[in-house]
Amino acid sequence: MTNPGMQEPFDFDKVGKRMPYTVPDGFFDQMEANIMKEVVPAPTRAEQSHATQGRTRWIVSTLMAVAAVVFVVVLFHRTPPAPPAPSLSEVATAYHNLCEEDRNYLMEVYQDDPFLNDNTLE
Amino acid sequence: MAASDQDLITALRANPEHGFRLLMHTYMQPVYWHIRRMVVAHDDAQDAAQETFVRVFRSFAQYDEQHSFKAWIFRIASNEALRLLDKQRTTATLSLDEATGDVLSLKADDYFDSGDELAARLQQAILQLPAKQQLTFNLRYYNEMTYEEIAETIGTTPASAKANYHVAKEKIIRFFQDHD
Repeated sequence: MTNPGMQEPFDFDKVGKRMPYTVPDGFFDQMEANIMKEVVPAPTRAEQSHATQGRTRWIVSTLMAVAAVVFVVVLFHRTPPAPPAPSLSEVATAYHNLCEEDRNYLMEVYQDDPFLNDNTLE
Repeated sequence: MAASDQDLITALRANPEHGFRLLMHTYMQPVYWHIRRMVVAHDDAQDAAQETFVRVFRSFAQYDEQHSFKAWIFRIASNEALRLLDKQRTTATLSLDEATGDVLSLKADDYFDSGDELAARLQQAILQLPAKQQLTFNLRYYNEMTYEEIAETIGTTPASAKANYHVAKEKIIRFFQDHD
């Protein structure tokens, strides 16, 4: 028999886990995105700038190295300009300055040279 | 299906970013609601919940597998909620023996369902409990934690957690009797 003055104790089952709180639409997705942004940050502007500078530096270095190689190759493969041909009067003076023995030697060696005495080419 | 705590720990070690996404899918809502029940206002709960997950991610290396992963996460969440409430107070540091809730702010929040009077009154009753009893009651009643997990979360013994839960329940029943 129950006492009519006695109140029934609160029944937790009537409420269960219901709560009087709500959240905005899409709230949990947005919160997940915010948290991910904070823990896995996108590269900052300074980092991006640093990366761009590094790339630029690498390209410039490569171009400079290529230019240096081309310069060295061109430098060592260039044929020196031919010295100007002496004039006939210079040859005659030089011949005249030789001693008798040398003049005789030259005459002996070159008097029959077909290239020097080839009259057919004239 | 939500991943088990062991799956989450393995995933976090193998690929922190992927593992952390899995962790958020499993714990995002329980942690947010746990904090919301303590701080009441949606904006505050959002701040504290975000901070909780950032801390979980950054301090995962310090997690000791000897202890419950769930309790570790809820311990961080509870601390964030208490820290936020403490910051809002102008008086001394909040003690676990003091009530945390601002009952007046319950109905002032934009995201409050005024149609569910009984649920609102239950929250009012819970908010009048000292913080330790409030945490114990919420973790047991809403999150269905074991007394061992509750003890790890709030830093007490399972026996003390059990006693706290029953005292809290009695006080809630008395609140309804006194306010009918």
